[in-house]
Amino acid sequence: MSDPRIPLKEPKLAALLAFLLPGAGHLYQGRYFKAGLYAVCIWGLFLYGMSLADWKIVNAPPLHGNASRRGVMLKYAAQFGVGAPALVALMQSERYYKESNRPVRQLDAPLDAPFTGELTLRTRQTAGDVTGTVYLEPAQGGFGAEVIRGRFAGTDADGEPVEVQLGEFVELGRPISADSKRYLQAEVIDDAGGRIQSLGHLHGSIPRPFWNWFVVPLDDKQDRELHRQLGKYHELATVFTMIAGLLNVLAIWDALEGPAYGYGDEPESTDETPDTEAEQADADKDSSDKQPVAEAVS
Amino acid sequence: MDALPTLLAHTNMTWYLLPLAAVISLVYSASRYEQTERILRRAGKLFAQIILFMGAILALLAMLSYRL
Repeated sequence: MSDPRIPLKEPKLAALLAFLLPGAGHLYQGRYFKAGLYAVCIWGLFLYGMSLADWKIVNAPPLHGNASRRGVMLKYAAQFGVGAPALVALMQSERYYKESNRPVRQLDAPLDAPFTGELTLRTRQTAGDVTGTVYLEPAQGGFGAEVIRGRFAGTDADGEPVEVQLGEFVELGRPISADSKRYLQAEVIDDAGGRIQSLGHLHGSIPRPFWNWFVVPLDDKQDRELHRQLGKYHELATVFTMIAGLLNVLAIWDALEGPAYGYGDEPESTDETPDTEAEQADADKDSSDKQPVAEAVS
Repeated sequence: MDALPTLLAHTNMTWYLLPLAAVISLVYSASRYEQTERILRRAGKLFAQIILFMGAILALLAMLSYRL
């Protein structure tokens, strides 16, 4: 039974809030010091771990099938304690492993996006960095197949304007993936006179919207790349986020049942040796003060 | 922002123990008691215990690997 001086209000609601947002449950209960302490410590540890790993360290396992990725289960189980971000990761896992999330060769609607990459033209025999905008739209290819066509307009590394037509073999990376850049490769064509002629190749990337890469599961290649980039900091980020999740379990329990050992003004237990003689004297005084009350109750 | 990875690359990983131990001590102690002063006092004690324990392990490992 919790100390009556501790305002638990609706403990189950507080525990749910504490799970969803560390510190929120205690804020709801009016336990402001603890709310601040849990929020700063748990969020701080978790977000620092996330930032160390480029915000890619929380990977939820697939809910259905794909047993090869279930190795992330234990890591995720510890991170799950931190609530909202882990739930978002689970939602992202569900979206990522859908059949429809695959590299795109057809479009439902026109798309234009900023592009950075490399343009290779046969006429120049060289590749050059280009930046600009790609404009893509669905089109009918040979034999009635649906393809993507469009154009790229921008500038090359020297600042010279470049505009080329894209078509037939345009491929976009999958819509949802753990990378803020979505790859794009396309054949550069010339269809003057009604005859399509290949002039070269454009490849690079367009930005992926935040919600299409944030806490999305990594594929094997991305996972290896992250390990290569971070080295030992990958493990450190994993440990920080896992410990943050596990610590929040203590905070959730505190919101539900109150502190484990009591309010804190009880005399220190005998297994905790007081640091100083003054503390010992205080403890003795406290216990002697409480003695008559205990006797009166009995 | 480029300075951060460079800074991290030159930071000995052992130093990460300090904030980690501080956070663990504070959250653990907060889950045991309600009174602010008691939480902070106990967290300080736990922090010192963790650091001493880890320091002892570090010293032991350093001793075992001496001249290896």
